[in-house]
Amino acid sequence: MTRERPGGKPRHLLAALLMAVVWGAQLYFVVAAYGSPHKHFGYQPFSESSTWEAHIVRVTHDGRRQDIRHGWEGYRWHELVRGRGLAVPFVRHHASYGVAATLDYFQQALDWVAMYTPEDRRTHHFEARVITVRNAGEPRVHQLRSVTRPR
Amino acid sequence: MSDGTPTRAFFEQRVNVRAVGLLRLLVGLITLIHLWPFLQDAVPGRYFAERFFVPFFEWFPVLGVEGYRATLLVGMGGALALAAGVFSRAAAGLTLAVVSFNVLSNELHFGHNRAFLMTLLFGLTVLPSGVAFSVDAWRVRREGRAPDESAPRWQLVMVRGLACTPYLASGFSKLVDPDWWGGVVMADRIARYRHVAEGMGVPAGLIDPIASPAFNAVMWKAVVLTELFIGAGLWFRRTHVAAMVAAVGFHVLIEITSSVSVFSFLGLAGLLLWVTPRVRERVVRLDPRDPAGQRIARRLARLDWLHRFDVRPTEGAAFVVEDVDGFRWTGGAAGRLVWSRLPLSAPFVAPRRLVDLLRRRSRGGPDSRRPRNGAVAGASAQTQARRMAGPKT
Repeated sequence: MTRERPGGKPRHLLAALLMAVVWGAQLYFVVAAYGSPHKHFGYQPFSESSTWEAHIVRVTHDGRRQDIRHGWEGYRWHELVRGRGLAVPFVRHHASYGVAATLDYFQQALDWVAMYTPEDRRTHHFEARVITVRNAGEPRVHQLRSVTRPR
Repeated sequence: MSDGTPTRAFFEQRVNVRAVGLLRLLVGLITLIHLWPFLQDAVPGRYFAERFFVPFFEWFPVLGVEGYRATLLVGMGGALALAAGVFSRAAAGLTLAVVSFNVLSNELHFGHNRAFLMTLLFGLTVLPSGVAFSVDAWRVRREGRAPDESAPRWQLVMVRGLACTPYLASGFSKLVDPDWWGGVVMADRIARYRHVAEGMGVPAGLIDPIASPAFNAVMWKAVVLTELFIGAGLWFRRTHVAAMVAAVGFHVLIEITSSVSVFSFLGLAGLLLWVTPRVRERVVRLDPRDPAGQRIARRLARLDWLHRFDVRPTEGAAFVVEDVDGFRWTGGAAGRLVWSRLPLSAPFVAPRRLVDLLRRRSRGGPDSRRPRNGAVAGASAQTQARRMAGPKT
C-alpha cells in the first residue's frame, strides 16, 4: 500500500541531500576505482586472470644474498604474511585482485617484514624479483626492494 | 502529494517495505556466516595485527586481541538481533559498525562481497526493517496494533540505487576492458583451472567446448551484458521480472563456478529490495467449497510471506488470479503467477512465468486470454486449480 504523509520543504531538501551524498559517494568509489590498484568499493570483481610469483632474498650487512624460501633467523614468510595470496609468493598463482594491487601489497609486505622481525640482526634489507603475467600476456619482471632494516 | 509536483510526491509517498523485513532476517544470518571465521581465529588468540596488515587509514585504531575479540562478539550479537528483529534499526547500525570496523582495520579483509554486505546493512539502517518477520513487529501486535509496514519511497529508491551498483559497475568495467570483452580473461582462467575440473570428474567432452575460443568470445560478452541488464532492468516494470530471473541465474552460476564467500547469498537476498513495494495487489478468487480451492487458500496463508495476494473465496468461482491491471489469469498461468510470487518457489517458477508474460505481450497465449463479458478464460480452470494445489497434504 502506498500512502502519503505531510512533510515540509526542508525535510524534502534534507532527504534529497542525503540521497545525493550517498549516491555521490558510491559514484565516487566506482569512478575512482579506475585509477586505483585496489578498486575498493568500486565493484570490479574478477577483473584479471593475471598470475604472479616472486623470489625473495635477504641482503645481509656483509652483502650476501640468501633465499628466504625456507625461512631465516627463525622466521618463515608464510607465518608473517597472509591474505590475498601473499603467503605463497614462491609459486606462480593467481593475482586475485590484479597485478597492480598484488605488487602494491607485496611491496608493503616486504617493508613490514623488514620492520617487524627484531630477532634478525644480520639482514640489511630484502629484495624480490617478481614475475607477473597479465591476462595471459607476456611475462614482466619487477625488482622490488624493502626499506632498510633498523639496526 | 500536497502540491501535486512529482518531486514532492516522490519525497512524501510511503511504500510498503514488508519484503525488507525478510531481507533483514537473511542479512542477519549471512552476517553471522561472514563474522564466524574471524571469531574462530580470534578466540584462540590468532589475530590479524600480529602479522602483516594494512589499515585503511593510518589513524585507524588497532585493538588488542581481547578488544578485537570482544568487538567481533558484539557484532555477532548485533547480527543475531538483526536476524531476530530485536530493535532492528539499532541492530543494523551496530552490525554495520562492527563489519565496517573489521574491514577498515585491514585492507586485506576487504572483498567486494563485504562491500556489498556493508551496503545492505546500511540499507537496513536507513529503512524500517523491523516491520515484519521480527520480534519488533510481534511486540507491536501484542499491544493490539498492526505494525506500520510503510517507509518513505525515497529511502527505498536510495537503497535500491546502491544495490544495483555492483551489477552496473562490474558490467561496465568489463565492457570497457578489451581483455574481458574479448574473452581473454575468462579463457585464461578456464585453461588454468581445467585440471581442477578434470580432477572433480567433469568430462573432457564438456570442458573442451567451454575452453574453445569461439565459446569464450561469445559467452563472456553475454555475461557482461547480463550484468548490465540486471542492474538496469530491475528499475523498469517491463523488464523487472526478467531482470530478477537473470539475477537468480547469475548468482547461482557464480556460486557454482567461483569462490565468492557470501556474495551469492547476499545477491539473492538483495533481490528482496526489488519486490514491488505494494501488497495485496493481485486478487485470487477460488471456491471455498472446492477441496483444491481450500488447499490453495491454505498454502497462500502459509507461504505468501510478502502479502502479494488478496485471497477472496467466492462460492462457485473458478480459480482466477486478477492481475494488477485487471487482467484475469486462469488455469496453469494463474498457478504460475501465484507460485512465482511466493519467496520459496519464485526462483523455480519465475522463468516459466516470464514465458507467460511474453506470450501475453506478443499475442496472448491459451492461458492468458482476456475473458469476454467477465467470463473466466480457460475451460479447465477447476482442473488447473487442482494441479496448482498439488497433492493433498
